[in-house]
Amino acid sequence: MIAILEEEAVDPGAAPARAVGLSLESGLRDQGEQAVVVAGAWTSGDEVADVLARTEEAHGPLRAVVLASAGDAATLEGDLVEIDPAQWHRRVELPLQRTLACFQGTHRRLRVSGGSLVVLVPTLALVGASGFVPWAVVAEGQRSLAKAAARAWGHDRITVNCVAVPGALLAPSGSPDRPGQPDAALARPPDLRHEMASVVASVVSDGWTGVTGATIAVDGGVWMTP
Amino acid sequence: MSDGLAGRVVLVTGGGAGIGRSLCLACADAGADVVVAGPGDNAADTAEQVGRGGARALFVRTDVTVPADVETAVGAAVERFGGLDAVVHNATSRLSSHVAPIDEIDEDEWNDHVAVSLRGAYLCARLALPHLRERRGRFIVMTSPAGMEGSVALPAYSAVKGALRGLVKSLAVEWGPLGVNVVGLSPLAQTPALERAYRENPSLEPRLRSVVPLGRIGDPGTDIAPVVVFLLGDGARYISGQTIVVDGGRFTGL
Repeated sequence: MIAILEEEAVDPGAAPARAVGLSLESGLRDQGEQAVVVAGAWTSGDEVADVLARTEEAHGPLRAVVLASAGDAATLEGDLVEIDPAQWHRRVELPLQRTLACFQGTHRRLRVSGGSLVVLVPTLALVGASGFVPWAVVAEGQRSLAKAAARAWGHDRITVNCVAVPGALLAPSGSPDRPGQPDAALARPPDLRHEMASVVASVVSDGWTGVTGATIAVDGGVWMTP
Repeated sequence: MSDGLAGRVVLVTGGGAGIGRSLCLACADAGADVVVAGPGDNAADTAEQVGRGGARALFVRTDVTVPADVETAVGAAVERFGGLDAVVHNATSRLSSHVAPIDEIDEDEWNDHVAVSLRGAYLCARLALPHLRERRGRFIVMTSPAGMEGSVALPAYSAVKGALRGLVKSLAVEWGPLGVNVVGLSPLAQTPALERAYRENPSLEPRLRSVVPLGRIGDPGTDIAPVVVFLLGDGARYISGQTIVVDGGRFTGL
């Protein structure tokens, strides 16, 4: 079973992002996977481990966790200088605290059986984008923590990878990463939301047990970061 | 001594020791007026040391996690020296070299890393911008190899240093039209924090030396600080959004 962890909205101005998890859940099921969205606002690894344990009781053994959302507050657009300290706390500090909780709780559930943790991040964090500093801070923090976890948990047969997708797929308010950004290399309009599920299903499959600490870009060939 | 920073005002957070102190001295040596913003008396010692060298320095007791403290430091720079050309956010949590696997990071430790590195950067950026844009200034953030590669021993440090790279890239895009450069610097240097890490993990030092092609760990004063001075000077006016890696050739993954 693949559990899709999604943070519930904590900022009154943020739109609900459940669509990301539900879309991914639907896409994974299309791939023949059993996937379940688990939404919450956890602040500790114990809470996440508990909810994953309950999900396992209901849906069967856990083999992968997807961290689908950093929290809607992180994705809000706005210039850094317009963000007050309370907003910074909601947009950056809380999402990062919840990220740590998700990592800790996931490890507690997977360290015996092994498995995969996949973190969805916006490509804008890799290349920079005006108006999205908080999201970039959170996502790059997640990527770095993912690398640390990948190094630490390999002996537990746990892989940790990131899948980078256009921000617009992860946030209702998401806009193109950058004005004047490169065109996608793939000429057809890619159905990236659907393809995101295909890639996630592949990354958590047995064929990828040798890949950990990586970031896989699923953006139709826009950025091609080094 | 070069005068490449003559007439410029540089505010350094975490200037009490290690790389922070070295770059305060180097900036002063290059002609800058230096504001040493730090929470402890060692930052005052740095300012005094700068003053003994003949340059102008101002110590402002500053906890970078407290908005009023950062506001005071920025205000003091402007009042004392007439403006602000650059901020170097070098402060890190006192727990930076504390070994704690991901499972063992507690809330206090995590929050301290996030507060000093990230809230500190945010507060410095937000409060300094009005002054930096007046002078087409620079915002420099000290990050770390751990922020690019991940660290088993220091995952919290790794996370916030990676997060700072996210800040650098996006803020550089956001502030480019305002004429303000934003740059990260990832040093490998012999610092008090690294020496603490050696004590906690004795195998670290020989391992580090063996993986640095230049065969030694950098010196804060002669290997790292001059690069920061360059990044603050005219020669670096077209560099923004990058993480400059100063590590003897260890990281070659770009």
